[in-house]
Amino acid sequence: MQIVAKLKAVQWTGRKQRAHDLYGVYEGDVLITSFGVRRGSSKDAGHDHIPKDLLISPKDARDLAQCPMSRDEYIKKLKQKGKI
Amino acid sequence: MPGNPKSVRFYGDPPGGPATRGESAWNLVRTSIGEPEFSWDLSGVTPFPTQPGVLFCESRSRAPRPQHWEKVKWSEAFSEALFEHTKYIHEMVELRWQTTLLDKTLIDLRKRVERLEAVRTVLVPIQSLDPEPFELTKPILALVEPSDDEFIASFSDANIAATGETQGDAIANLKDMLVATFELLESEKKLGAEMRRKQSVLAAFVRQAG
Repeated sequence: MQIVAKLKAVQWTGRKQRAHDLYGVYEGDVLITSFGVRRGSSKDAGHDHIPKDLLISPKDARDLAQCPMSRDEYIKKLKQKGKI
Repeated sequence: MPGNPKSVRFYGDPPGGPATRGESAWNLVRTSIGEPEFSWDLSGVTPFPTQPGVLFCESRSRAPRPQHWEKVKWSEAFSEALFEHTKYIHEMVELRWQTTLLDKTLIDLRKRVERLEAVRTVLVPIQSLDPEPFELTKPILALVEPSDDEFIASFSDANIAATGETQGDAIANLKDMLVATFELLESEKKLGAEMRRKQSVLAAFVRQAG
């Protein structure tokens, strides 16, 4: 998924493989949010729950996936919302 | 549905000249008010001794009384028939209006039911995290809703969600995500505000088993 690359999200490897891959988004060494992506999902544009996971609106999530929004802008938005 | 209440049969002399056939009276009526829409029974009209300038007709009331004919002055019968017919038209229009309203209401209700059926959103209580080595201190209410061709199960208090091809898959995957997120948060030393909140919510529901 493009969002994973865009946010430089880090896949978390737990005790075992799961149906969803869990990713963490970090600002420095602080974990600011996490989201899961189902393995083998054909969806590239993202799932309906991902905007919620990322604490942003569906429009912002689309902007993030399709380029208009950068990682820095995303972090800035979360700071404005007091989520970090 | 109201029935057309009257049949009126005309015969006699119209005011303008002598006539002994119903058609003359019929023509007179048509000249006066145009083509009436209700049923004028002109069949079997027979001459009837009339006074000059006076037109007689027979008026027949329909159900529920047995049909019978009575001789009345045509002007009286005509007024009555016109009044009855106007009433009939009014009732018909009102009935049509009511039917239209009922149809519209029915269509609206059907659409709403279809929408509700299409949504298929359900709340599912999660009682355990088996077979994971974690247990729930209290049940979690998961919201399961369709999204395109799959389902999303979410635990909104902790803002954790998972998808699945069926409702059951989505719930199983949500349990998976609850455990994975709990472990992730436990393993991290520095958490942002939202992650701290998430950890706090999860800690109220999830604990390590044994």
